[in-house]
Amino acid sequence: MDSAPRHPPSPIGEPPLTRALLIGTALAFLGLFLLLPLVAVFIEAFRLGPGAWIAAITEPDALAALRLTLLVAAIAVPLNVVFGVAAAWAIAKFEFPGKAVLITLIDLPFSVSPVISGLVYVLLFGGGGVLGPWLKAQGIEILFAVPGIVLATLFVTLPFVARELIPLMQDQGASDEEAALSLGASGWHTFRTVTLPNIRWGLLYGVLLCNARAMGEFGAVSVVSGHIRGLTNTVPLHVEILYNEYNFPAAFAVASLLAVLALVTLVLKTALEARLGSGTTPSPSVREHATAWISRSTTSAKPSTVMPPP
Amino acid sequence: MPPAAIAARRWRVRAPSVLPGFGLTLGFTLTYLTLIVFVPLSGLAWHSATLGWENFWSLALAPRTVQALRISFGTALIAAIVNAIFGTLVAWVLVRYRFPGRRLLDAAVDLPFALPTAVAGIALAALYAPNGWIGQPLADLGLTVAYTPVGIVVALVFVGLPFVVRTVQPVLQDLDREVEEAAATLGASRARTLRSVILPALAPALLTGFALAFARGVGEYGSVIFIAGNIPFVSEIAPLLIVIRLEEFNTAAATAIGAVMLMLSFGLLLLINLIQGWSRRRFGHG
Amino acid sequence: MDIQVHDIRKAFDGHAAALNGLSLSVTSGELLALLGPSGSGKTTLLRIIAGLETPDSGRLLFNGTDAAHRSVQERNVGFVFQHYALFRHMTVAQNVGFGLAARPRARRPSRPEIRRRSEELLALVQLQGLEHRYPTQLSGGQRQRVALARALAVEPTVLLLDEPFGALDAKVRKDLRRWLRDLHDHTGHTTVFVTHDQEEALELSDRVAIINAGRVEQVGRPSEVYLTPASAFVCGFMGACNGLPVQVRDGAAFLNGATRPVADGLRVADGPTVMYARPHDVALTTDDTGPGLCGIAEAVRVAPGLLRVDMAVPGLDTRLELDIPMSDAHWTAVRPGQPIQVRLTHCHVFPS
Repeated sequence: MDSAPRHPPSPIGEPPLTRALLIGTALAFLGLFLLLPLVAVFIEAFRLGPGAWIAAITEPDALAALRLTLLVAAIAVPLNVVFGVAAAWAIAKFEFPGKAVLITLIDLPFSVSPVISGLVYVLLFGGGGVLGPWLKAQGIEILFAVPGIVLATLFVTLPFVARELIPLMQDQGASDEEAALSLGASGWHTFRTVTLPNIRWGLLYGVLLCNARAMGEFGAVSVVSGHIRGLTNTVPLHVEILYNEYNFPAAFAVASLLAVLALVTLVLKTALEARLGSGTTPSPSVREHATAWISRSTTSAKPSTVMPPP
Repeated sequence: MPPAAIAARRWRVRAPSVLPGFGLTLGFTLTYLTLIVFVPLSGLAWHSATLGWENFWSLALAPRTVQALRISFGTALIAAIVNAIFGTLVAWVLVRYRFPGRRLLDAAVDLPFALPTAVAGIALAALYAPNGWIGQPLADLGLTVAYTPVGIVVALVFVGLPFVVRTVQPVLQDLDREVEEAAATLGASRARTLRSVILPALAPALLTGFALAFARGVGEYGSVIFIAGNIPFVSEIAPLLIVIRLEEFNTAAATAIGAVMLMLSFGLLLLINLIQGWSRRRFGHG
Repeated sequence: MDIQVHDIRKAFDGHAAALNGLSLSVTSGELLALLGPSGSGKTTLLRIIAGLETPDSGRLLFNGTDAAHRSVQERNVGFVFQHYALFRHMTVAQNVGFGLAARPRARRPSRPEIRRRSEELLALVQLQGLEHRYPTQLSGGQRQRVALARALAVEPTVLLLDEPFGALDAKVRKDLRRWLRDLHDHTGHTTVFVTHDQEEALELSDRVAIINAGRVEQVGRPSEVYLTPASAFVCGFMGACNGLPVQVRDGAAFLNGATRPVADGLRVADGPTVMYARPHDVALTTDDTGPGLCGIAEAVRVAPGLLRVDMAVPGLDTRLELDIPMSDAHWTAVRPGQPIQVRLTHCHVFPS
């Protein structure tokens, strides 16, 4: 008997040629739009050799920008971590009216253009603003100074940690904490020894994304900074100044530092996703802005209960 | 439920819980949110209000402003369409096929989230400039990308891609293969199955991803300004015009543009939520 | 339509063969159950008949003509998936009409015709009035019936059902079972369904094919496979079964070390073998001259209409299970710890 009958094509797959074509198209698209810009940053950065690269990033204004960026991140990230943990604790562990609205408000900065995030602080603290004249009289400088940059950064990075922790803590429920309390642990002790270990990977994930955005934010910071070299320039702003002065090798050299930051973030993010569970599915990587909105709808509103469960 | 119980329900601030810290954490959350987000945003609303109705609209409808808004929304729309098509294709390839380097590719999709926009901006500008790696061959063909609205679209495609991929991917992953098999046993060709079974199932996620990419594109600043050329009436985007007005100390005009953009963005946000709510009610998934 | 399956083999990457030279024939118009434990290959066989899976080797004939090269779309089978695989974005009516609407233009009925046919089928499966619902708005049993109506809409030559009642709760399952039997008698489709539930297979089908490790162990009417199992596996799978390792000498079977035979008159060659007896084929006896067993009643439980006894027998490693009907006058005498004497009214010995 002929043991190899003519096989019909697989009913739900694509023929190998179509498959290869689709993979090829996806690779070409990603290569062109994602990979090429990244490669270009490094090639342009080292165009004049490693000596010029080192000179560009050790130049005093570059170092000042680096210091400022680190300072801003060092203030903004911990503050937003505290906020994120507090918000997630209140939202995930308790029931109260207006919860859905609160979650929407936390997401608000994601749907605002970075320039507008800067603009609102200019309006608040600027000369014609609400608080501007009073602050000026007190000798307090916020706009075109470090506090303004910190505030704008706080605004744009506010949702990151909360967004990671809210769904995570909602999934985990309150039974672990209740068990600890029933065993006589204090509230703070329970949080430290029960809650924190449960959420540590999600927290780290949020910190990672929050930090990447804090160090890389451009639009909002650009509006409030005033671009004073050596004083109110963050690294991304310094890149812009160098680029606009046609000092391309230096601009790309400094930019390559930020590109390395992005790569490190991606690597850590991928590693953390494996930690957070389903390493095989991309669902945990559906994060940041995209999921901020998407997962919100799954956490804030439960599906209508009039239908029987599937 | 007796009326008294309903009243009790309504007035209950929170479900009884033995966990401590509700007042502290909620209080802190609300205070922080008010100071960082709510007060500054209402400042924008207050400023817009003080401009007066006529003054506001004359600023918001100034020709250069309208053109900048048109360019921002137009390029964001085109980029979102490009991303809807290629993002879905990328998600399909990542979910359905196994090939070497797939995991790496999957991780790389998030690059636009991680790479600071200014870095992306100068890299794209260098690539697409008339003497750049891509700009040069295109120039030989008589095509210019940098310093035109096409350049803006390129930057927005970069920025928006992960939104579509990351919304479509999980839905595609959860899509039951049996549904496709069922279509085949009912005599549907592969193309028919794709059109009538798979695409409609992806549609809500695709629309959401599209809207997210679009919303992000409208507000995008850093990655665009280097490649756009920023020629008024041609390649000047609305966020840049806000910055320009601020530098001219024309706070009123900046406020008006910002308010209009914000209203349009919130409209989009509302639309996204409506799509998700509708899709969840109907199909039991979002 | 009748279906012939000849020596089909199928292995999945990195796994033991799912089908191991399986042959089976399905007669036109019958309701055949594929019964077997999970992993026995029954679902793979069903999917091969449907064209959802391609066999590594072997032949598949529909009405005597080779069907192996025909694509799923061309086979015109009605397949009902275990979890129904309904199209969630389509209404019930659109789901049912899908197969007709998906036909090439030349063979596609008009829209009103498709609507009429959907309504007709929904009436058949007793879902009138739910045309405009979405699948998520239906109960499990209703979804099942929509899936069935959808499969019937394409006027299939054969209806294939994969664990049709597996995802339903017990009460709904029982009702639907009877209803499906009536529907089959009404429409007369050749129907093959997969199940791991022997009660379901016995109650519903005209014939049962018992599948184990990628092969057919036995095919026959429900009463046949129950009363005259062809193998130890079938005997054990079709209900509780005691296995007694015995030595056969001149047609008499002896437990290890026993002088009194367990049974005699067996037409089996001398040597070691295993005798199988169902609990209800073990009866109390007071006659200690003929073949039989003595032992101690260890555990005694009451079940509706009968007494379940676990009996310890010298020379037997396992407890002998027996069901004593309450019509047996001696049942009240059976108490835990008491010696009892039993004989086998019926037993099976399979060639090894």
